[in-house]
Amino acid sequence: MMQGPIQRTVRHRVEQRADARLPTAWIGGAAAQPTWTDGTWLTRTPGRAAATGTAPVLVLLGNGSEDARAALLAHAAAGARVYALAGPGWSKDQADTQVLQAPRVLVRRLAEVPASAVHAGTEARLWIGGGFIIRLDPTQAEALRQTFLRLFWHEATEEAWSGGRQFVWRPARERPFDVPEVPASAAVRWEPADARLTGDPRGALMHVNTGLPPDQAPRRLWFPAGPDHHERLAKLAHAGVEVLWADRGLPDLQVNGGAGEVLLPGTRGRLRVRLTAQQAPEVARLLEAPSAWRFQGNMRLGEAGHRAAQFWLSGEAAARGLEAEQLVEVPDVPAASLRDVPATEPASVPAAQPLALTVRYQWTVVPPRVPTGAEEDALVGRWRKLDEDWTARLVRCREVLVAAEGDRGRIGRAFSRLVSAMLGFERTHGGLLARVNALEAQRPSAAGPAGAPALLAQLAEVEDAARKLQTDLDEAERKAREDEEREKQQAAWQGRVDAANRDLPDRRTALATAESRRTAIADELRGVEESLKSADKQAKKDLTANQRKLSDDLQRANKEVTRLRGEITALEQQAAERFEFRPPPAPTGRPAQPGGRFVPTASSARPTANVPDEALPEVGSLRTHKGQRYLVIQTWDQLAAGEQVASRLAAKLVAPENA
Amino acid sequence: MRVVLTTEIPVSRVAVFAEMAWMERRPELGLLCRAAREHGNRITTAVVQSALPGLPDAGANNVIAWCKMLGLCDGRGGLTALGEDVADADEAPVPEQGVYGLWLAQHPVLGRRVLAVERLASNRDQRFESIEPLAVEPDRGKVFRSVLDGKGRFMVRDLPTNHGQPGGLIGDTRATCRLRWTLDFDQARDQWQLDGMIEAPQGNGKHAMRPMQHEPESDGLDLWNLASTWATGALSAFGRWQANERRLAVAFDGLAEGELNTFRKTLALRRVEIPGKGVYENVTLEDVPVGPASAQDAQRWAMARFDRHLSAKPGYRSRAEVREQFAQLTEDTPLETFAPTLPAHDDLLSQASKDPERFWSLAAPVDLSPFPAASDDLGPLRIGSPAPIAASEPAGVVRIPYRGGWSMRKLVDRLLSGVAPRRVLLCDRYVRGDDNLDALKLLVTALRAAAPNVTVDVWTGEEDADFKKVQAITGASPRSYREVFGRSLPHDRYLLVLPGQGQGFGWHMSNSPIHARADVKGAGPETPLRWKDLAATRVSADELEPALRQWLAGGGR
Repeated sequence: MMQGPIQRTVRHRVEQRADARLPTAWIGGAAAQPTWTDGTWLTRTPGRAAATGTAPVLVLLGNGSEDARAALLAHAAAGARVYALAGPGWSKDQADTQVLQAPRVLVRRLAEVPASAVHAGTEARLWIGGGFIIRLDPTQAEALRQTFLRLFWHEATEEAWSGGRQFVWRPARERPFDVPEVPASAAVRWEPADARLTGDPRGALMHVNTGLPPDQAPRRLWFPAGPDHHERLAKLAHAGVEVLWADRGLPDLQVNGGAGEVLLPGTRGRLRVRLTAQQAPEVARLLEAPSAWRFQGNMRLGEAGHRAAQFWLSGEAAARGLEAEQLVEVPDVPAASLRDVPATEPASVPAAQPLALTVRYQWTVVPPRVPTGAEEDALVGRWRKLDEDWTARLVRCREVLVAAEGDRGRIGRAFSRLVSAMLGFERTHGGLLARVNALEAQRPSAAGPAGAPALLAQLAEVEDAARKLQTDLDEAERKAREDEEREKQQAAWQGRVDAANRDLPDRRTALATAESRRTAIADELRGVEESLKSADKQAKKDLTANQRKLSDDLQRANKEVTRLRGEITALEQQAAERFEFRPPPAPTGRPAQPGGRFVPTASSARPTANVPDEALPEVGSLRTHKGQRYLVIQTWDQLAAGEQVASRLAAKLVAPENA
Repeated sequence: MRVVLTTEIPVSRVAVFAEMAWMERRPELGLLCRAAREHGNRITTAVVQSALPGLPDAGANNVIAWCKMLGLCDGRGGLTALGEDVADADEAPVPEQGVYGLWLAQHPVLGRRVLAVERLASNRDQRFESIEPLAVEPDRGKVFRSVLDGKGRFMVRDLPTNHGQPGGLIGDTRATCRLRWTLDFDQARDQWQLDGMIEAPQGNGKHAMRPMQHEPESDGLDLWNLASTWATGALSAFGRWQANERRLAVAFDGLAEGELNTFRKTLALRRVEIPGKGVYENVTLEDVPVGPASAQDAQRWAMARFDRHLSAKPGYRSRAEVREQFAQLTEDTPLETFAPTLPAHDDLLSQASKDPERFWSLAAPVDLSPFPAASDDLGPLRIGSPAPIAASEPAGVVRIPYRGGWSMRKLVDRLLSGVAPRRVLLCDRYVRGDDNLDALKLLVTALRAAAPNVTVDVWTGEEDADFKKVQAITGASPRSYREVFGRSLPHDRYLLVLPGQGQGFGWHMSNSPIHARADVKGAGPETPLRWKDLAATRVSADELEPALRQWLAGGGR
């Protein structure tokens, strides 16, 4: 039984492969060092340069040209005119600059020099690779000379000569004549880069570096051990051909009886040398030497002799030895369900590498996991919303009750006449608070589809009672406030009537006084005006001044009379005023809800309308993705319960996303 | 050879009483003189009547007398030089008398010449004591052309005088006159011309200076004879004049670069005399033909030319090209008669030992030749002398020695090697020029003499080539090198032979058979020819360049 968190599980399986077979392979062991004794025509020792007098000496400085360069220097030192062909990078080497000191050397460079060779007089030697030198017979030497001339005059691109401080390269000057093409039958010939050995391979000794193995079966074939052409090599091996290889730096070779040929490597051209009957046996000795590699087919892996060997298989980049155990890591395997995880295996496993004696397959079982992007299921949201509404409504009920308690205290203190009524409100308020406390201890989601409607009904009752309590409080306060206002307005009216009646007699007396004074002034004015008509100049001046003063006094007396009459009229109207009650304006900011301040309205819907018909899962979390429900559990001990809940909710049981 | 002689000529101005004549347009007299020229150069009654039909004899005699008076004919009617002039120009002298102002010049080349004339109004100033003898008395009866405008022509018929001593009033003149006489020996032509300034009448006795206008005239001097007269004089300081060769034999030392190549030299002569035509100072004699004075000079000269040629055109040269080049630089030059010698190959290398580029340019083509040079070819080459004939040539080699004297037929027979050719291809970059085309005719004729129905193809460079001429000779349209070879042009010449039966073959040649020259006119296939070296080596088809190989295989024709 699995325990702990649910996560990926690594598993493995081991197979033995000692009896497995390789269809084809190159098998390489420790290379035996072949012994060699110089022959007459094929040697590994350069020998001494033959004295040629003043006859020109021709030198090809191809790859591995150290010996040829030494021969060049020897001939030049002996006074010969030396003509050399070198590759594009020649003269950059310090050793090459020794040639600069030689008296008469003309060097031309061309894109590629096919070989290293020295031609002096009728003697010629050709370096074929692997440190071997072929001494050419006169016919071959003449053909080599013609080949040299063709390369020198037709193919060279730059030239320089010895004798200066450095080689000053200049474009090769135009040739002074045409050099005939070297005939196809020539003993030495520079041929296109795709040239191949031309002799009949049947029964021959062959050494081939590039291209395809021959179609015909030679007696012994040296072919580069490697990944290619195993099918053809297998056919040859099956036909009895010894297929061998040792990298000795030799060119393509073929010897068949008294004939043979050498085909030197090259990217721009290849030098072919047709061997004489004397040269062929000596070259054949090269090809009879022991090999480092042997090509075989249908080999059993577990042979004791193969333990230390190197195998080069078809298509592989390099040779390798046997591998004691190969670890094969199989891609992750998804389990169909959480319960299937312990028994899940890959449907298939890759083949082991051919050289593995044992193979260990290893894979990881991945439990079913909730898909990335899966969201919370709607059922969970609905229950959560119901719980949140439940909580919010209870909070508001509590707030209303707390506010009602404050109002009750304030009203009781303001209106002493309501003290007895307030005691009744207090009892009602205490009962409602107790019910709210009881409901806050419960949740609709915990009650489930069966219990949730009853709880919601209780909550609605509490909300109604709280609302009624608040309404009653408001109405009691309103009535007390109106009575108080009426008494206040009546007292003010009575005060105004009493004051008017008290002031009227004084105002009427003041009016009579003012009217008499106005009459006296008017009479005096008329007298002055009469006197003015007969007065002399000096008196007239005084009378005029007096007339003006009296006119101003009369105007002021008229204004005073008018004012007093207006005041008397106003006092008379005030004394005759009748009482009329004016209700106070309704308090501002009060909600216009019929239910009263802060009291929630009762839900018009039925209490059970929003209650989901499924209960929440007892374990795990319920999520959904593309219409599929997933029940996510974290640990293996939730597996049994989770399977039941998943079944109830039609959900798939899965591990977390990061399992 | 050319020289320009100059000398200043004094001009005098006089006022004289003279009988003058101005050449005026008289077409009837021109017609008469031309008729006379067609009838024995004589003005006769019949000639006059043929020119002026209906004129009676008396009238014709009057005309003849008038012509005689004008100087068109002599007393017997023979046409004078003046008459010839009238016949050519339709202008005849119209005489008049009066006082004239003359500008006079005198020199052996131009004679006593009136350069310009001015009619003067006569007056009676009684200045007889001012009349002086004329320093220059103008030639009578000779037509002069005025140098004032180069158009008006006139002649002095007479200078009337009471006592036989012509005289006049000597006037002042600021006129200047210079004789410029060019002697062109190579063209056998001399030409002289006057230039300077002269007073031109402006009316009211006033004059203004104007440049002279004078058309060149020739004296008809025998120039090479003149050169011979200078041989012992002015030229002797520079060398030995060889009248037959018309060149100056000089020593090699002191010759300048250009003189070595052109065989011409410019000499500064202090004084020369032309018999009867004056003495001239500080003369520059240009482009005098020169040649070596001795065989030693010739040898040094030849080697100097050869050396300069190698320096001017550096590059690898086969021994055949060296020999040909040396021959080309010496043959048909003054050096040839001295038979200069090209040194042997080894000697040339020794001479070039200090010059690596020259050394390798000569050594490599011999050392690295696909066909070894014959020992005779590596030996010295004496120009003009036939090269020794080799006792025996290797098989497959045909070698014509220098000046070997082979006929074209002999060469063709050797090249055909006894086969009857069905088709022959000459591959030669330079099938052009009259001499080469003449040799091509000989080659084609010789081939057709050996095989009458043979088709001769020619592949050649298209520069300066006249393919129509080649086709006219061979009967087949030639093909251009560019078309056949593209950029890989062959250097050498090839003659390919396609027999009626059997394998075709080719000859790889160091020189072209059409470089042979016939020294006689109407040469035929059997005519001995003048040859440069030619070595032909027989090659098989697979030794040939692809295009040539293809021709032998039946393509590219």
